[in-house]
Amino acid sequence: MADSRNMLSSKKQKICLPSRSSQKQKRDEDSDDTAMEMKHNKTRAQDNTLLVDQAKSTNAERLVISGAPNLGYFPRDILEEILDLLPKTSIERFRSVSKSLFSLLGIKFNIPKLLYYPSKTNFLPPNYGIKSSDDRGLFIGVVLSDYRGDAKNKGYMVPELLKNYMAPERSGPLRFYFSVGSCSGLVCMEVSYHYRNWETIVWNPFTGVCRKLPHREHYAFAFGYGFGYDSSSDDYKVFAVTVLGSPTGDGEDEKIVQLFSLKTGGSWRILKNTDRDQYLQYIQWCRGMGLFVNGALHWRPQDSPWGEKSKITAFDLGKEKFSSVPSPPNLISPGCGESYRLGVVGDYLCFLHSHSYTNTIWVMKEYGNEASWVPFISYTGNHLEYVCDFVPRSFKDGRYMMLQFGDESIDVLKWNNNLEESDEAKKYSKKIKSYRVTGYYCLPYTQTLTSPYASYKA
Amino acid sequence: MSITTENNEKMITLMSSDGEEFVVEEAVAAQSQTIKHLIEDGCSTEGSIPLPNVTGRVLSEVIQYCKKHSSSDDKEEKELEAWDAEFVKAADDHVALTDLMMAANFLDIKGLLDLVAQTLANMITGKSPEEVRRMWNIKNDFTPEEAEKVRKENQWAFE
Repeated sequence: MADSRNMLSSKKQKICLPSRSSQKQKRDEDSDDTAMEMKHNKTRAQDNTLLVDQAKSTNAERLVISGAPNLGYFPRDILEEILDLLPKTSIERFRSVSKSLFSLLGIKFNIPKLLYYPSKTNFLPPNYGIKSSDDRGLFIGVVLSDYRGDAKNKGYMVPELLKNYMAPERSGPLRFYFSVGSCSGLVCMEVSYHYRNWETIVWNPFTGVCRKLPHREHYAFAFGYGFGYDSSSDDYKVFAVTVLGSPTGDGEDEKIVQLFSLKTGGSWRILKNTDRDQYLQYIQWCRGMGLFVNGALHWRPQDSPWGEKSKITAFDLGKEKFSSVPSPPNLISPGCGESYRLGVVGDYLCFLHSHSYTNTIWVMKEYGNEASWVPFISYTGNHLEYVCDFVPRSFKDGRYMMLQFGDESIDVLKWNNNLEESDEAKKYSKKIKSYRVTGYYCLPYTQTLTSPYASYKA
Repeated sequence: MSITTENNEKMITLMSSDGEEFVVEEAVAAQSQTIKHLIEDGCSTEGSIPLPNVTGRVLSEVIQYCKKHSSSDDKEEKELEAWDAEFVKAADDHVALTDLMMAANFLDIKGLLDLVAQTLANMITGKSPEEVRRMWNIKNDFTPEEAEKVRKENQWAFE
């Protein structure tokens, strides 16, 4: 019996969110080490009452939660369940209830006025846009202008959000920013007032905690970048590749890959790696943000200006190695008005092929296996920029898919979550909503309490 | 102790922390993932399943919920929603709801957990920090200076 209970406990542990030392945070006002230790043990005992064997549980009554409840008794995951459902203002009020809740919600950089949705549209359901219940969702909230863009007229959200944090001594609005990536509720961005002095930040829009990363040592504008999670080290990593022009202006440009790990902290690391020039060349041709799928960042194939072919380039965040991933076989090369893009549906890497106003979404059912690419959906419209699926809380039942066309519109359609479905009509229902989002790119986003400092040891 | 009814429904016995015993159909109890795992591990054959941190009062509510939801496949969704609404209303206050939430978490019943979490969230929404403190018996441990600072930083949330 005791064994089975222990098994049960491990099952239970697995589904818990990654430990973010909430217990420790709750007691950070307690400076006495011994008392802290005792208190710690006690708290653990409470959390683990389900593990108490029957023989030991004759005194279980004292562990029973009854009478006037105290939030301190709430296990972290229960508290998150509730907090997740609160509107933003209530979260902020919650913060000022007590020190423990204050520290639980993080406060390294507090950004007030978190209105991270476009107030001029009726796009969003009242509570944080379209939310998801399975770590996937639409980051309609912070829709980001493309990096070429001057955000003056469009980006009324992000500059407003970040100006208090960025440089209070400057009065002008934040003009330039672009997304590096989004993962587990954290958004990584590069922001600047001018095209100079870019800063990289990792931001949780939900809790408002924002972390400014140190400057890259060899600073130059990154032509390839990305943000993702490495499960092997339980760490989030920021990726940037830049060109350092040769001092004399002739000869080969030097490309430098730099990585920053949120957990390790410190400074950016330069990735020492040989045999990667070809991959960096591919990334330079397509430029931009790597798509995070399957533990790696992915860049779409893009023919060189002189017609040379490239492949899907992947960078494994765990192994820190580049590789090529096969594209769907026998594709027509994109010409004028046509494009290749990447997307993600149900954790599968997708390949979006746009050709003559017809978009075909291919899905790679077995990662890395060229033969496993299958055409999944065809869709008519402008060239398809991005695809992701999500399970929103605000709609009932089922999965939905978001398709972004160009930088103009987004369609949301319902799909039956079955890649095997051969009947075209049954694969998805007609689009349920269509939005105009001129000038913005959208990111998938999860509302979480993950801290940009989560596992960071100072 | 497993017995069967004339319908061949397997029954199991659950025992609350205060020693109250509840005999329920296995299908009803198995809505709790925790109990389901215990049954799979063979715990139900050795006697009643002890639930050391759920009181009889809370457990009877939980069973009520599970019974309703185990036979709900063919029911109107609307009817079930209405029933859920009545169910949390009957729980009366946040103290009872908190107990229910802890039980739902321990027993791992997703539907009930979501339901109660939403109800508690609705209760918290719009409450001032002072009201939240009273609600959950939380000590205000900010010094006046800290409180002022926090309030200033979060001014917008109180407007």
